[in-house]
Amino acid sequence: MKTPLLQLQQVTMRFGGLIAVRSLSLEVDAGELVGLIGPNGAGKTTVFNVITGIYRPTEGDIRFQGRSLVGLKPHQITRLGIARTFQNIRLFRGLTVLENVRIGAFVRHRTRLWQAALRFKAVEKEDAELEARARHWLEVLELSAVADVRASALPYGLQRRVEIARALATHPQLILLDEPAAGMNPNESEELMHLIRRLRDEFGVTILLIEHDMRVVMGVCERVLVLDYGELIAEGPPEAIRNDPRVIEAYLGEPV
Amino acid sequence: MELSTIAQQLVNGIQSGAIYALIAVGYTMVYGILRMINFAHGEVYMVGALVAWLGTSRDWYGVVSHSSTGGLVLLIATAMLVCMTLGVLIERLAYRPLRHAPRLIVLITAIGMSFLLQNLALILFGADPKTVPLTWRTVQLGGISVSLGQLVLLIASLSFMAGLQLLVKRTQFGRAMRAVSEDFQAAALMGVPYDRVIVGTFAIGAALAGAGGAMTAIFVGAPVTPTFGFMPGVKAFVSAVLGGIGNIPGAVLGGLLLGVIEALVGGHPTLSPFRDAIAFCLLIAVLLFRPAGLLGRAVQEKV
Amino acid sequence: MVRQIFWCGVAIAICWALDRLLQAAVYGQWFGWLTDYTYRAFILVPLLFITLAVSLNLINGITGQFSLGHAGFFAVGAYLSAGFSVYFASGWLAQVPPAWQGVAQFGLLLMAALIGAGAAALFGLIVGIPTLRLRGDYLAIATLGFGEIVRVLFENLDLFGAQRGFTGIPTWVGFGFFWYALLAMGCIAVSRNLLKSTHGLAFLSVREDETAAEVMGVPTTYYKVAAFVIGAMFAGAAGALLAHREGSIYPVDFKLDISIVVVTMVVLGGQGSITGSVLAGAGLKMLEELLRLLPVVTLFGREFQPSDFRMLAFALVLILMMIFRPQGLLGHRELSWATLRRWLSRSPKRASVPPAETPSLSSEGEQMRQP
Repeated sequence: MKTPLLQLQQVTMRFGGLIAVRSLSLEVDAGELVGLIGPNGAGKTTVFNVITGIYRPTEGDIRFQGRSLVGLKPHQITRLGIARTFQNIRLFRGLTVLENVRIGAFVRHRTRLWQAALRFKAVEKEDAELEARARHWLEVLELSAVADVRASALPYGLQRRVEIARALATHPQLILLDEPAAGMNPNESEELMHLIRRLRDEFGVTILLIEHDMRVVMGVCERVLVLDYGELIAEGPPEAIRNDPRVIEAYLGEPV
Repeated sequence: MELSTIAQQLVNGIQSGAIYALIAVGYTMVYGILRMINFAHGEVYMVGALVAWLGTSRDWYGVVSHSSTGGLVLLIATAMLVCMTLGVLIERLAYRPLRHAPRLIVLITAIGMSFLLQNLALILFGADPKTVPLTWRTVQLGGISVSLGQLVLLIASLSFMAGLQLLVKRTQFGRAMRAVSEDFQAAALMGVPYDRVIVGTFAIGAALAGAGGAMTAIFVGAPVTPTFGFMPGVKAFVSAVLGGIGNIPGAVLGGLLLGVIEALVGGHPTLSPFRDAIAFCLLIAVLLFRPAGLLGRAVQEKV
Repeated sequence: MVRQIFWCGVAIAICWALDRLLQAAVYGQWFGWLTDYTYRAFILVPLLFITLAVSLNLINGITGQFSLGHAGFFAVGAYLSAGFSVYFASGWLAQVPPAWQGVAQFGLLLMAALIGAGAAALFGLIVGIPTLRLRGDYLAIATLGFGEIVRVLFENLDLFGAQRGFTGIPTWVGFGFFWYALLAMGCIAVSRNLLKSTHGLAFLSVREDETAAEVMGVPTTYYKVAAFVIGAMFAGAAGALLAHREGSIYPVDFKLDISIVVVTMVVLGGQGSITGSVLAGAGLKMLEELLRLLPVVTLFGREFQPSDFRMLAFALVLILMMIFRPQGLLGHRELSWATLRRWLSRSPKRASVPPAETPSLSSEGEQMRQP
């Protein structure tokens, strides 16, 4: 049996007295397109924060390609091949779109800081490479036209797309999308679904996404995980999840 | 060090600690509500001391008699009133326009305000040290000499802080203040007039700092210069952080603690020159090892 | 590598030639106004403050780590390099045969400057490490504390003259322009190189949003500490040059005022803008000197030099700037020939200029609380 790409084993995250994630175990295989859903406050974003190293789990282990991520800094985890977007967009607002994406591409740099201070040839070459890579992702996400626009000046939908481009530029194997469709109109989320499928099919990126828009989740995910009060209450293909009584109960409250 | 020296330093430490505490509550209240360091707070304290000097260095048609209790009470009250006005003015002119600005911008403004007041004082009153022409009788308490001024100062500061605690815990305004510092948005939604609460907080903090400044000048006889408030201001901020910023009893505890530590180290002959460095070392240590302070709560950043 | 050496050579040649020219002009009294005093006030001091402002800009402006301790780095560089020269190098120099004195002096000065820079960089590392934990206003207070501790230390160490000041430092810098200009150019070049490369974007990303930067794979701790170390290094070297030109240094030369003045320069120029720091650094110092030319005024029964108002003016500038133009004169932009031309010709190109920038100085985009 091959090892899954991402594996959470009995992960618990406690903040003081509050248990945000309770003994959660889940697996994502390479090439999968998985949805993570659940009512507000179910601990979905906390799961992302624990995977990307922003929080250190109170208990349990997280493995990526068989390697434990616990105790690693977020930037080290990104370097291993996990990228993410944020629920409340966190672009570098004062920088241009291209600069934002170039920072994503920076993960792959090899030159040293002192070389950059003295502007070595290697640095110039690398800058050109990284910029080309960034421009490539702008092209893919149809953002080339706004490359030199300040990120804060973009409309909301485009900002989300820049965040995805920035995450992709880190060259991830797994990308975590935190509510990518939030605030989008039906047209935009249709485009987004198309894009998500394309990322997986064309670029082979494994995707784990948190989403409230059920149309997106049902339309694009192959497998859905349901979280409630920090616990995994259901798991399966979208159709099964839609009719799962536990899921309905979690969303609607106590059964009548 | 001998035991009596230690006891003596302890008394001096508590006295300067009480002053730190009086200034620190102003820092802590403003921080609790606006999440900003009001850097100019130490200068408000300096202005309080200047008012005391102005009051005693002239005759003022006999209104402020140098030795009468009533005259001194009136003088301290004037200093509080002047500082209160100053505090409110600072908030109105410099900080209110920046209510929605990033924190660093507010911080830079506050530093600018601090320097502005220092240099205004320099231009208006000059750099020469000014001493209030009053002396206080010293009493011996079991080998420790305490001046009557020190005693009065200590009692007055403690009653000021007790009064503040009452105000915060028992009054409508205090409730509003606590609500705003707990959750600004919710308080505003519940109809708490936050603008008035902010102004009130600045006014109370400034009045206490002014009282502290006036009392230091009158009862301790400390020479007043334009930079009179800078170090006490920074140290009071350290006290506030030490006690847990945003926490009023914490600020009092932190102030007293810092005063005592300083006095004990300052009493040591070889260490005394480095007295001023203690506060900063303490600050860095607290921020590194117990960032929430002694009585504060830890807050985790939301991502 | 060849290119770096070439440009270093060019810079050295230019600085040397200008140095000779200026020296001839000052001592030969070519121009009435160019005296020893005006040369120092209008050329050397501005150059020194350009170095200080540009190096602080790297910490405050580009990386967004608000430091109030720049005078501390300046002091460490000045005192430790001076200590090296007074207690060690002078003795060594005495043993050098007369014919080699010039070369030996040059070498020892370079060594002293490197020691000053190295010591300050070490202090930068020490100060930088707490920044792993501190943000925004706490960092400002902690760095302020650092600067004050350094001053208090030198004020009380007899080895460094304590309050009497440290005197008898060999004045190997000589005329000054060569070294001062070289350092300022080096500081500008390094800042510009960094900002131009993708590494520079890593510094900027820390300023913009530390958490997001970390998640995008930027080792934020490394870049924060690096900013402190590089910034401190140049401030330290500047201190070394000051000590070895003036021959004596005093604790008051490194008061908090200096840190505030340099912060004002960075803020005025636009945090993050190198050219802004250069212009504001040189401009404010020259303006301060020009103030001295104004007549004495009498206010409140006392006489004032107009330059007595300079700190008041700095404070006012700082406050007004924050309220009305927090991005500084140049904002995040750099002044280049292209921007100059655009301003002058006012061509329709303006339309393609990115939309008005919003200040984003805080690392988290945090704001004061608001309902």
